[in-house]
Amino acid sequence: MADIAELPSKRARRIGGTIAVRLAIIVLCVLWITPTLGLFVSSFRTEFAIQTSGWWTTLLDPFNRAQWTLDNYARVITGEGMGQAFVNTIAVTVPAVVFPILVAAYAAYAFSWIEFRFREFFFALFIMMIVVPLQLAFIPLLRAWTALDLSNSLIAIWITHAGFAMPIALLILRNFIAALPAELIEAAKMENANHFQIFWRVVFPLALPAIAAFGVFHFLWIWNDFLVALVFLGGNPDVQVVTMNLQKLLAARGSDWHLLAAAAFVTMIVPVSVFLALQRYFVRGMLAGAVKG
Amino acid sequence: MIKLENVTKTFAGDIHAVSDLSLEIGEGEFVAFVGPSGCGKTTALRMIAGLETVTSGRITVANRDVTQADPGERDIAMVFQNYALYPHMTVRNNLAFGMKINRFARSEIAQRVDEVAKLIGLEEYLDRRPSQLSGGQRQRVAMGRALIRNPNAFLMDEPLSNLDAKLRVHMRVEVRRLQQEVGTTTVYVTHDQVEAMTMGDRIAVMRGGVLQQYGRPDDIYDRPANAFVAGFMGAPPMNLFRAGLTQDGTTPVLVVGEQTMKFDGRLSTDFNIANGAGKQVIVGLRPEDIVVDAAAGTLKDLRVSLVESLGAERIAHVGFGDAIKFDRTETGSNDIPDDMMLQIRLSRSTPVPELGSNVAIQFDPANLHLFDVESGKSLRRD
Ligand SMILES: Nc1ncnc2c1ncn2[C@@H]1O[C@H](COP(=O)(O)OP(=O)(O)OP(=O)(O)O)[C@@H](O)[C@H]1O
Ligand SMILES: [Mg+2]
Repeated sequence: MADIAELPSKRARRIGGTIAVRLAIIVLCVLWITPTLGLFVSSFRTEFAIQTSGWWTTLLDPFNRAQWTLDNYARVITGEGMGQAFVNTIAVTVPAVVFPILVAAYAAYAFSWIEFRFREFFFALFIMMIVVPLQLAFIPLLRAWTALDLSNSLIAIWITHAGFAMPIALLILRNFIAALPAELIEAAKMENANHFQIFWRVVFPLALPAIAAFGVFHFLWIWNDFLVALVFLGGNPDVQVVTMNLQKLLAARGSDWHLLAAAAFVTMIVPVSVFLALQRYFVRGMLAGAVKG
Repeated sequence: MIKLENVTKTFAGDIHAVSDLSLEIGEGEFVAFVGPSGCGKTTALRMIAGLETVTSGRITVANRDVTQADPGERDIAMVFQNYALYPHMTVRNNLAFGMKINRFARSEIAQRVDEVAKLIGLEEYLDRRPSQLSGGQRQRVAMGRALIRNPNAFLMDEPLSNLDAKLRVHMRVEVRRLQQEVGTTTVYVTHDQVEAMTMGDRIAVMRGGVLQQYGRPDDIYDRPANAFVAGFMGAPPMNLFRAGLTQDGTTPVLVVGEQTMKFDGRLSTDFNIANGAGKQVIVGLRPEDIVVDAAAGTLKDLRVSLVESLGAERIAHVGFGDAIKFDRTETGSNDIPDDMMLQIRLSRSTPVPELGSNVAIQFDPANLHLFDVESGKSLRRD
């Protein structure tokens, strides 16, 4: 009896809850998408159009070819150095992602499946580095790179990024790799596979979801990084990355909205595509970190 | 050929998983390790495989001391309980994995994969992933992965325990057939004594890390070395109960409660009980060796408390009732169940004894087993 009496109110509450959640999602989407869309539209408008009317007016008359232009992109990419910065960013990001992941995956395998002395101690030591703030390492690292005559070089920033990423990469990958069924590794051992073969043929393919998840996560972080790039590449204009270029533009041409919008989109295009293509892994990666870390 | 000499495994925290295990497995022989959960079967198998280090002792495989060798160096194939198939590889690649690792020629690998696929009857499934196979098919792939390499030995750890009862019986025959076809020495771990009895050329019965008996299935069944083996092998298990040993003139006799069993002096010829007078012994009788007789028998005044029908046969539960009192506080082997209930196997042609009625039982003295009450060891003369 009591159950039946409670039913309508329970149901009402559930529906109310669903509506509230949907509303919140809609509000968030609108809040995020509106400015992005505005920026996107503006990046294709002429300087004159931007100064005289709001971006939404173009949406009312989208087939009026006169208000659209690709000049902003052309100028930003060639004249303002965004093209070079884009290439530089790829040159910084790709090795800075692949290198630490590979090292962390090897280490995660060793920490999971190879017995050696003080294994737990060393693992804890590595993981503890997570709490060291980036900024704390800047000065000693800068001095080290200078001493090695590597300051403002790509190698320096690759290693720097790799180092900063290592503890968290190790933590996430070890959690995953240690949870693989022991029998799979033992079966491979019985077949006379060495550690390299076990890693590449069994562990790596099975850990790919975790590796990809962390890879996407880390890739986005490095692509959007400004601080580390500024500190370790700031002295060399040849290796400016997109975030630095954007900042320079902002300082020099703060009122040229048409250029800033185009530059922002050049900066965003890769992260957005990566995210859309691999969002499955991205969400899983955050979960792996959240649940297991 | 596999030889274990005084092999011992102690885990941290003073857990003696395997103690002083010595046995020899002949070339091509199929040996079943059987025993209750936690008796060290898996640990023993993993030591042979090299997946577990040996605390002390020596392991020889194919006349080579492999005690310290890595698993891969031993040339032994293992079939795991949950099959351990590589989920990201097709059946073909699962089968070929070991040969690829060991750099066999591609043409040879392809040929062997085809041969083995035919042997395990999975030619149609070579391009499937393990997740697209049934449990029985996965089991076959696991077998195939062992077969393909022609190793020194197969090790199998409860390979059939994940299958349903019917398939298990089928795969039992299948595994044995494959093993006989290739003639590879095999160690097969199981906790199922029926599996051990039906599959093994020889059986090693273990308990608490200690080997209890090693021998042919019939020997283990007919001449169990101790009360534990007697009670473990066979379903329903052997009936075990205490009896007193006294002397009737010069002939030893067994006393159960008020009743005396004489056996025409056979006791002293069959069993080592010369100095036993006045002591207690454990009596063992297999359910199928007992005949129920309403009128006269070796033991009388037993009450029928339950008759189970299993279709092909019946199991009668017959108790001593209050006629016979046992002193439970007595020290000694604890292999004897508390309830003094005998299970008796009746063929369908025998009349069903009435519930609650008093019956007598009879048995051939040749089928009698006696065990020492303290050590549990069989008292039978060799
Ligand atoms: N890695 C380990 N560390 C500590 N103790 C262990 C370890 N592996 C097994 N043991 C212990 O050793 C004993 C034997 O274990 P084992 O796995 O060999 O038993 P088993 O006969 O295979 O049992 P089951 O039939 O349940 O599989 C058990 O008491 C177990 O708890
Ligand atoms: Mg086991």
